Amino acid sequence: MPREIKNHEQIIEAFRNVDIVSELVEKLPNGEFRNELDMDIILFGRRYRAGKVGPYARLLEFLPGEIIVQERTWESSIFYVLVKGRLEASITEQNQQFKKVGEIPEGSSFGEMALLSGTPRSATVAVAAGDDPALVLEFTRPALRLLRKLPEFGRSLDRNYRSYGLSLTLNELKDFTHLKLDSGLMKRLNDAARFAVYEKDHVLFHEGDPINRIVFVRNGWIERASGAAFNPRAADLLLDGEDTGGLDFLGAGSCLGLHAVEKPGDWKYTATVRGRAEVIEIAVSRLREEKEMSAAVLPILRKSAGPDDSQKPSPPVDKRVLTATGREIETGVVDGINLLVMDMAKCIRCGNCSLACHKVHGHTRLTRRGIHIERPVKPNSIHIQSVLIPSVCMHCQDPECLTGCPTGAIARFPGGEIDIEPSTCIGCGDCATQCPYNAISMIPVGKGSERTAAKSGFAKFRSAFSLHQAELPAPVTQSENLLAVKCNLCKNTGMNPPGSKRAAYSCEENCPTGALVRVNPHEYFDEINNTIGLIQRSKTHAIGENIHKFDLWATIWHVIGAAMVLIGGGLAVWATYTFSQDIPFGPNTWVTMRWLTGLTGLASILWVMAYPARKQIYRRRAGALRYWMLSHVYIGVLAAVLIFVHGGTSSGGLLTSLLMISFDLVIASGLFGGLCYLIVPRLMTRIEREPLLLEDLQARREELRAQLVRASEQTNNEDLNQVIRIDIRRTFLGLGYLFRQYIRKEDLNTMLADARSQFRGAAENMSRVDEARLMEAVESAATLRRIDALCYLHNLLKVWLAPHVLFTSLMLVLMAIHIVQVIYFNVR
Amino acid sequence: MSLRQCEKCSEMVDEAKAFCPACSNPFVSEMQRTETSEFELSGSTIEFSKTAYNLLLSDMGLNISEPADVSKPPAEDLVPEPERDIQKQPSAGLVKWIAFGGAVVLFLLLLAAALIFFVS
Repeated sequence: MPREIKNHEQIIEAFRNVDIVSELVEKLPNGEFRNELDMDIILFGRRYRAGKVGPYARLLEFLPGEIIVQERTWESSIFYVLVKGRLEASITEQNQQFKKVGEIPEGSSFGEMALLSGTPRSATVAVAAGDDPALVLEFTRPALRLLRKLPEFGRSLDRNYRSYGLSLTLNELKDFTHLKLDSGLMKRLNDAARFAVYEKDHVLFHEGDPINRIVFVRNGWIERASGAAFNPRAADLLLDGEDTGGLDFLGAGSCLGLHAVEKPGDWKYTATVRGRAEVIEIAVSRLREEKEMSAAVLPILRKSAGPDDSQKPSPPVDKRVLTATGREIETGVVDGINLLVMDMAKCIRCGNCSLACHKVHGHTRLTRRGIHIERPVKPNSIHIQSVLIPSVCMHCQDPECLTGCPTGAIARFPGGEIDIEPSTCIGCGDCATQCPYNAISMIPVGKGSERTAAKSGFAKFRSAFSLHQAELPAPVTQSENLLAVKCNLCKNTGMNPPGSKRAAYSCEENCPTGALVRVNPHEYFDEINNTIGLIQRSKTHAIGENIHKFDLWATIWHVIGAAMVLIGGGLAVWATYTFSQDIPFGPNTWVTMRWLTGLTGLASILWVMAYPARKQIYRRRAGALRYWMLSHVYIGVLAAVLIFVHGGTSSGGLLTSLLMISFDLVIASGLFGGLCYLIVPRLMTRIEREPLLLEDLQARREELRAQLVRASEQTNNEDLNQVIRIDIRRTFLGLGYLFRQYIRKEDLNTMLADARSQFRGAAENMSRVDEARLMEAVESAATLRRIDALCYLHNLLKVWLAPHVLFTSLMLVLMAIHIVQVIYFNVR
Repeated sequence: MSLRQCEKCSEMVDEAKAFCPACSNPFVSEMQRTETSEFELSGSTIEFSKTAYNLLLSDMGLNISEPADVSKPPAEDLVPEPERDIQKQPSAGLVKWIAFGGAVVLFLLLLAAALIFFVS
């Protein structure tokens, strides 16, 4: 651990000795500090009404051999300036050997590359062994905002960032391709190249421009469009048109313009930056002049991935794939390092994910609203996957939420997650405002219990079976003492106890169908994976497993479950037929088939009942709920077969008859629920397209009903009133139009156009105002029926559960009596 | 190491560099475009191509490339064609599950029938 020096004079002296930050402690001729306020905040911190802001810098003394920055860790909210001492930078080679790559000169900054580009640390920096201790100034992210105002620091930061970026990328390229490149050639390549950062929508070059530089994309996304040289942004329009022309996307690791080294030429397309991009540009004229360098460098660049760009980009094989790629890049979801995705065809809208989040963190950080993407599973496939990316932190590579935090409470931690330190958060809400995905919430501190009224035991029981929306807590006001909260990947909770090898997330672990999963977007979206160059694929990401593509344990459960039902059930029927039900297997045994089927059936029921027990475990790991659900279903079906065989054809007395009936009802309601879970989400997704929450649908339903009533009340035209009150209601609000929603599953616009055309004749003799009113009423009624159809589907997913639970309770009571009865009579 | 002064930022830099390390200004000679594009002719204004412009107009039900055909009924009166979109077809996954569910129910029914037949 480094020793912190807290003496004010020593800290100011350390600043004075470093050129790039000395301006901060510069004095005016009258003896006052030129930047007194900034200096005070950075060096010592200031107390405001909301809390303490700063200090942003610490003076630390590291002992010889002590590590300051650790390679490949994600912690990137700190950068350093070496005041005095000798620091060595080293990297781990592919054979796991350490290799020294350089030394940090005194007065230089280091560690800002990871901070600015959002990537893991690229090298380990440690104090040279056997040397004197090193004095280092440690700065947290908020210091950057103030220090950049100092001209010398701003220039130095910019220059260092570009210089490190260039060297780092060239070294990565060399290492990845395993090609030899001596230090002399590396120096010449470094001289011929520059590192540049471009903002979204920057045009790298236009179609027809001469190729002067080779462009290697280190980070970010490039859109290539041919035939759109007039305005690159019009490429978006091309996607919607019939003729797409040449349009595609390229990700990091791609190299453009290589062919121009051998033969001068023009760009065949316009390249536009889609999202912040870091590129290396190499002067083509230098590569042409220096044959030795180009002979060594070109194979390296060619080995990195990228399409042949001597030709125009070809039209897409499947335009839907291109549209999905564009949307994934445009919305920025591809730049999340740990993305939460929901497959809406699997989501049963139970809300258990949000509940699990609430149970673990005390307040849910997961809202099931967000970015929706429809993507073909592969080009030209009929399978369209409907993916919802909820408003939950995706732990962006380049997080905007970190930029404005005045205390540095929000930061990226070593595991890659972005989290908020509650002890330093002053509740200013800056991070919540900055986040483009609405993934940060402000909650009142210590008022949780006051905001939700306590419920009695009976009210809790009733609400468990209610289809009504739960009462929402009162909205947060600015006058309250607030705290920013966000998803922290369940770090420092029971879900991820110290020493756990696999990351577990409460939302994912508690999804009963596996609809929700945390993934690396680069790997999850195949269309994105295809745009990334080879060099970038080796990058480490904090990721989950893509169970939507292949879930090994679910497959095992399906195979074992089906085999258990078929073999176990078949065996029970065969044995009962062969040995009879009540004849013991031997002269000295009491074991009969009725006993065997009864006991195995009881064991199966006990296993099945473990599922509701598992459902109550939220705060620690207890196996993914989706596998418990599969076991619940398969073993439940096996139990059904065994108990049917156990009962035989005679219903027995009143108790066993009731027990058998209750058991049949449990099985029937369970099978109905299972079918609902399989069919309804898929049907709902096809009808709604954009995922909608039940409460949103219900609110819209009320609005539309009010609109219909208003439309008939506001008009003086008796004919129009008649049409709205009778004809429209009869046409759209009947059962026929409801079933049409489920059968045709048509697009809402198509449905509305058809609805309007049905009433075009009735509108012919009306004034323009009345015609507009009529069409508005028609649209309201048709939309209302669409919403009704969706609400019924939502209810269908819940409505079976109450009878299932009630019949199960009854069955368990009767079964317990039956068991006591059997034991009693046997003992007697 | 010989030095040169950058014209853009006045920094003294190594002559071997192709770009200024301080401001990224290129020192190497670069070819300029000889042909002027349609976009550049219009200065800083955004000009849509004829295709893109027509696309915008056709979205609004207009098309300046052809005179409007008054003999045709308005677009909304036309019965919408069923979408040829392959998304509309039922997915094979759903069919698979329905078939699986059906097989399970059938199996249970057969089992019950067999029980009644053999055990009684």
